[in-house]
Amino acid sequence: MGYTLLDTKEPSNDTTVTFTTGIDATYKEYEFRFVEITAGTSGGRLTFQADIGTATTYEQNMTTTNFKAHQSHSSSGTSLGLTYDGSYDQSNDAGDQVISAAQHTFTPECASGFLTLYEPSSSTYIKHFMAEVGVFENYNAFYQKNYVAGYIDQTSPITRVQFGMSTGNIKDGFIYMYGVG
Amino acid sequence: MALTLIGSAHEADGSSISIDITSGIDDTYKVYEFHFINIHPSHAGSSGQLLWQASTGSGFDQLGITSTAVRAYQQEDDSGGEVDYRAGEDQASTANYEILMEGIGNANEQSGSGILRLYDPSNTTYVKHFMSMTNTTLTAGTKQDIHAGYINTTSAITQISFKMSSNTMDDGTIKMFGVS
Repeated sequence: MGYTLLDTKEPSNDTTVTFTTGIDATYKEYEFRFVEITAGTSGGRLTFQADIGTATTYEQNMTTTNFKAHQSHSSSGTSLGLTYDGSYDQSNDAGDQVISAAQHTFTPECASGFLTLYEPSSSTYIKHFMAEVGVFENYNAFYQKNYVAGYIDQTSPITRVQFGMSTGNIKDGFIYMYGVG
Repeated sequence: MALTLIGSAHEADGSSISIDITSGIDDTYKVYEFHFINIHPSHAGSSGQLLWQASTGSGFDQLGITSTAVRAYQQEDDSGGEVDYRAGEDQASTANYEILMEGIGNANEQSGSGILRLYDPSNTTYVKHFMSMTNTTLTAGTKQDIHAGYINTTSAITQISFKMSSNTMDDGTIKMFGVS
């Protein structure tokens, strides 16, 4: 067992990337890996939501934490160190959960990281997740890693997961879905 | 990187005081991962702590640990929202059980999940590094705990124990993987 690759998405200027099959009771952990995700619009931050059954609204309530480690890669820049990102956590809200820093559209900017979703098929427990996503941002010259964790306040099985950008499209990249068992 | 499930998943059965893994930790792998899925305590709050310790084969309260502890938390009413260092939850060469999760709620839907990595436990030269990252449901909020440190022994670690700080682990799954 170990990691089993279940699905691969290659966004190409897509508003959202959605995994609608393969999330079931087969695995107790599902891991999504983001490789070289780029934004189609300046200011875009990678986001995450989920849904149940065949629903398509992707408005599950979440309570989340979000903090970041930030380092300038410019001699004139300011490194923010470690700070809580209170603008991008949620308190039982149904918004898209931001899991990365904002990107601009300058090559070679991109985001990479992962999100682990725990036992989405449980019909007893809320659904924990943890994500770590790093962004190399060239316009303002920094690298930032966001640590995002929390739960989807839903005891029904989660069957589908959606990724998007806070503004604009996902221009490019790869998103892999693995079952862990 | 590949994960190999070692043995069967360890399931809490409602009367579990601890889950001890006493075989399968050897020099087959340089890295071992322990995955925790929906650990559900019988008691909430300060009693809702999931802890761990390791052993060279002579008991689970013998090995000194030096560790760091960071947490981030947020409440459903939007209070909280911070990340900080938890000086009361780290260790400085003490032989206590190390915290994996703290403050797990015990309502039916509440639990904790996450991961612990242990590096080269069979090594007889170096101390043993570890890192853990977990997320728990508080009574009405969420908390992420991030711990790291080392077990101050150069002897081979062969066993590991997980237990609640008090009372029982009513439900949950612990899996041990070898990483190659």
